[in-house]
Amino acid sequence: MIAHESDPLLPAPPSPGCRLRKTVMGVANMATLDTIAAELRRDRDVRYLDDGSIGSIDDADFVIGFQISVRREFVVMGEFSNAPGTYILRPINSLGVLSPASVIRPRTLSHVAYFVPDVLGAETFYVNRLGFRCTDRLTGTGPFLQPEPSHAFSHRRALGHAWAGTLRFSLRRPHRGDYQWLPPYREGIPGLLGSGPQRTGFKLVLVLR
Amino acid sequence: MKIVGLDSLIFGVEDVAGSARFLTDYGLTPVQGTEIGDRFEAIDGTRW
Repeated sequence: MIAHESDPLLPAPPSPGCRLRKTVMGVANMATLDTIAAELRRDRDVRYLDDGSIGSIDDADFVIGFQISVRREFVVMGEFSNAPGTYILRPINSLGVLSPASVIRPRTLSHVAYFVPDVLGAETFYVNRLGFRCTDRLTGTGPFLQPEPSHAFSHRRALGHAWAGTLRFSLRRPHRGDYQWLPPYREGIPGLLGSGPQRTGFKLVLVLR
Repeated sequence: MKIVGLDSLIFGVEDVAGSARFLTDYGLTPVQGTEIGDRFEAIDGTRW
């Protein structure tokens, strides 16, 4: 969601100039919302909002929210390569690449990276208070944290102040042509393409300024 | 706790129209505005 930075309804940024104003995480049910609220109320304010979500802040002053997840089940086929030696998955005369006129739609919001002044403290909060687990660790930077049982990640790196650095949507396939057809790429907006350090999945990474 | 994953991110930006164009070009689907601002969805309903 975007709004003008002067909109008084926006939550305050964790540090001046940070454009990320709130991260909302989806949960499975109302019982989980109540469990999170009870846990966070041990040392901070938690508010039940009119939209049914709850809101609070993390240890780096990022505003966080939790709601019954809006995620919808969907079925969209992935890429079939028909590499020699594998089962034949793609029928004869079916295209292996998308037409340049195709609309490429991100499948899911999968990852957000935060720069925080205290990486260990941030990791401790999300692991000990919210049940995340560390799935990977970049040397000299920070951990990848994953809430159970999804594949969504958040990543934290050390920086002098709280900041949102990158975010990722998962796409259809590891085909560079998809990336080249994206209008932002054609206009010169920088991005990174690949599976990322998890070595699984496929993501286009947008680096925020 | 059963936290499924990221549902949405809320940003405060300088150029709302330019940001909306970027997100639409990126492939996200614009949906009705909310009390705060506009939102843009991926296939599964997760939002920017």
